[in-house]
Amino acid sequence: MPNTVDIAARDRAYDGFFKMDVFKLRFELFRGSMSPEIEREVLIGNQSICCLPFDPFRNEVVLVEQFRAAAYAAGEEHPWMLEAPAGFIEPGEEKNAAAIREAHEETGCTVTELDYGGPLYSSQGAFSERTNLFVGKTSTDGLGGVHGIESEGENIRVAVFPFDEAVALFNEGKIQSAFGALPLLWLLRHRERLLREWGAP
Amino acid sequence: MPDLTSFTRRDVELVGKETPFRRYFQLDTYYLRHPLFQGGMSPVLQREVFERGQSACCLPYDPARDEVVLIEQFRPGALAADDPRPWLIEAPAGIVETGETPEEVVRREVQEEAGCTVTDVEFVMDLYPSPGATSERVAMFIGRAATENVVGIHGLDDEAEDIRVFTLPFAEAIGLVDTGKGQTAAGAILLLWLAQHRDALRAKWT
Repeated sequence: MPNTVDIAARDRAYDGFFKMDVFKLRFELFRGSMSPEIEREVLIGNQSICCLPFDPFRNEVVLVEQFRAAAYAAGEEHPWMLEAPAGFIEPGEEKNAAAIREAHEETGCTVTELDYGGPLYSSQGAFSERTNLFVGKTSTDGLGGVHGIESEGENIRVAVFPFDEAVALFNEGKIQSAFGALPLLWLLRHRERLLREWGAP
Repeated sequence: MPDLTSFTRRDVELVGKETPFRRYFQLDTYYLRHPLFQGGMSPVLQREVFERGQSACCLPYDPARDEVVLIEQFRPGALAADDPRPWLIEAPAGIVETGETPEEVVRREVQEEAGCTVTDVEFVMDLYPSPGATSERVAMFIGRAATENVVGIHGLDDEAEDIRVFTLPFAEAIGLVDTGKGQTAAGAILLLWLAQHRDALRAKWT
């Protein structure tokens, strides 16, 4: 199996809020020789997390709704996305701690257990972001309202849904973000195990 | 159940737009205000967007053999993430050009990338893989295929595509996702969705 990449150059072509690197490289082909030199632009993204808070006793999940400029740029008619809490892992932070922190910052909930679905590349052709997938055990008691860090322009509405209604929303095409679809589909597949592990009747 | 907001894109005020980066790809900066949940408008926000457009992704599935087709290829995103081996296992995908439908694209890409003919497609969802950063939207499908003899190295030499194609029993493929080795968001979503709808698809397609 190929595993060799020869990087002839790596240059930072853009350094704003986002960073764009241009690689000149050759990679090993499956037949054993090296590819010709190619140029590839890659958007540099840190590792992120998404964490769907799930109350196994009430059978409810917590979703957040917020304006997403990239969906607006894509021409989306309704550029407010329904997702699980998500965000970047901070420098030096452990991914589980980031999941617990983001869930709390965006929804006010306390996550006491985590179920992990691994790191997943968002758009591996030209973006280095990996999202670490989590479902978190929480109590949905008293959750709701509008959250977010105002100085960062965050305006986040928190909504508690019965699990079946969240799945129905997904099936109607109303959960389009990977940060919503991934943990919801994960929970659909692993819910019975989590109910057992997390002590629900 | 809580209501979703009724705001639409017409409620957003686009104040300005710049293109600070344009080579093969393009980054745009949007200056905009949007309505707030509690009433009123936000201040003018500055948001960078990696402009990507529409793509399409399809997991080929053989309902008789209960197998899926996966591909492995070198991925620059994984290289930039310092992945120790930046070759990823994923579902075939491609960019939708103007005038094409996502369904046409997945049929063509599955043929080109995997040497495999898709005879029916089942729509899964329109996916924003990372809506905080990129405008990419992916039309997601499961494709009906016959996986016999689907194996080998494919891809277009002039696009420096070098793709290994292989089949896996569904149980092994979903096992990768279940153990945190799904590798890509699109591939994991398609396998998790197939896990929910596999019986219905097998009934429909056999």
